[in-house]
Amino acid sequence: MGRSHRRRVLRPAGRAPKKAPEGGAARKRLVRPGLDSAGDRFGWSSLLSAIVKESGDVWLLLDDAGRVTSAIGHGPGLDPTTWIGRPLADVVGTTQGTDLADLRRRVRKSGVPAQMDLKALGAAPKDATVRVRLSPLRGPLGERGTLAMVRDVTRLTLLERSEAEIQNLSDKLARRVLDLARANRELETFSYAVSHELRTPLTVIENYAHILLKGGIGSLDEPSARALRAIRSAVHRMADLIENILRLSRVTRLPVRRQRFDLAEMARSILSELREEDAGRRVTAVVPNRLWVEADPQIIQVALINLLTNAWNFTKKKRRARIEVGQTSQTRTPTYYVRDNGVGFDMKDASRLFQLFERLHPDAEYRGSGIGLATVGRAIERHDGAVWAKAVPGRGATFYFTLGPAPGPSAPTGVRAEQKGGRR
Amino acid sequence: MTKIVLADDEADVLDSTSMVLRMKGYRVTPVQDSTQILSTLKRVRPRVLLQDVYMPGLKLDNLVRAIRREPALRALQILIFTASANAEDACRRVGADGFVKKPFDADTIKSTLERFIIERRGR
Repeated sequence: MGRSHRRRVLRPAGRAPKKAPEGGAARKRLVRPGLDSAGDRFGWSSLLSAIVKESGDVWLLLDDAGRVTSAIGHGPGLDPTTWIGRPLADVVGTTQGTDLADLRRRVRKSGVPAQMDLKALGAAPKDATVRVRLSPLRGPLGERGTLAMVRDVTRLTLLERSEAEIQNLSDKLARRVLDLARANRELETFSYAVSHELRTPLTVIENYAHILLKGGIGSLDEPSARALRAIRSAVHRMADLIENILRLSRVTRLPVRRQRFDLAEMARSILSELREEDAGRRVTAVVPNRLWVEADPQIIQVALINLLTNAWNFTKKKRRARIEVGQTSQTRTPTYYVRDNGVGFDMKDASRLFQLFERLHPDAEYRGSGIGLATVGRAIERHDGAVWAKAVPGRGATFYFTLGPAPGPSAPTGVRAEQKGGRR
Repeated sequence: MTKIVLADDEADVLDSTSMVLRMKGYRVTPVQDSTQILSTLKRVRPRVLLQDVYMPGLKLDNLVRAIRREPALRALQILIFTASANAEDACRRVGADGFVKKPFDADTIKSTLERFIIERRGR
């Protein structure tokens, strides 16, 4: 049934009867009424010719020897009228003529349509890929032929290839994400190992050094005591170093979860801890009542601890030490600062401030781990914010930072509250 | 003399910390076996438990819950004794009263402990 329809429809232009010899009943079953009446009105031949031309495909009828007997449609740069009598491989202009002949034989034998994609070298544009689809035909008197559709699939092939490439890249990316997750887990294990495996023996060293120094085991001569004090001092430095490395690793690793919190309250609590640890110091702290921000409190706390500890340490020789936390009113983006009147630094070193293991103070008294400000930089960077500093040697330093965009409807409230707090 | 129970599975940490705390004037009962912690607490009735976080056979949150259920141990201050990176989180997670980080500064450990003891008394 399908075959009779196809045969009728695809008879080469000019030779097809205007009406199908088998009568209208079969055709009506096969063709949708709209197309059916159009065929009756305009003539099947011209209608099909128009449809085929619009499709951009080329349709060829091949005789049993595989030569073109008729052709309709046009492809890019193709003129089907010159093809009559030539083998299909010539028409397509491919070197894969044998493959094409094999395909035709297979279709003829099996009676099942099949297709293949070929590089077209001849009439088609350079590097075009054409898809040749062959369907078997059998005429009313038993004559055999093949219907060939030639479609330019260059763009489709490129598209398929880029889809495959995208898939490939996305697979690679997925693998990379897994690798990263594994590396992160390893880093966490490493952090834990660093903290636990190094700190536990340090506890024992610190304890026994203290016990020995205090005469808990026996009396010591002065050189032994001096050696023990050096051991303890090294233990404290190492403990600080481990603490700083862990903070940096936390700031790098933790996901940023923004929420609204009071930066002023956080600063007050850190300053009061610093006071407790260093009760002999007299430091004036100036902190506004409220300083609402939208940021990750855990990460910002690490940054603020580092900034305030620095301010605390670098003012230790000032008779009237002063540490100030606040918000500047000069910029549109809320900008916060931590200011001290300590030793300051030379602005020519400013670019090195936030780099890991950079130390600006050669003076052993102010010698830090070189991790603290790198951690501050990382914490602010994780918030898409900026951090910078201004200083005058001997007169103090101010560290400024922004906290990036604060998304969500609560942001304007936060900003207003900050300004209110800042003015007080 | 304030009584402290110190629980840690590492002998060197246990011995040296006990010694430091004794030098600071505390009466220390060391416990190395986690199954003995609760019974030691009931027997000694200390003011402070200084408790290592990771001990073989120990589920710290279960221990804290068991202590809180014990009327005789109502005044007990539970401080976790930890080398872990985030002592604050661990402390909050198990419901302890505070933490002492390893290594602690032997010079200031007394003032740290006294702060917790005073806090508890104030409640």
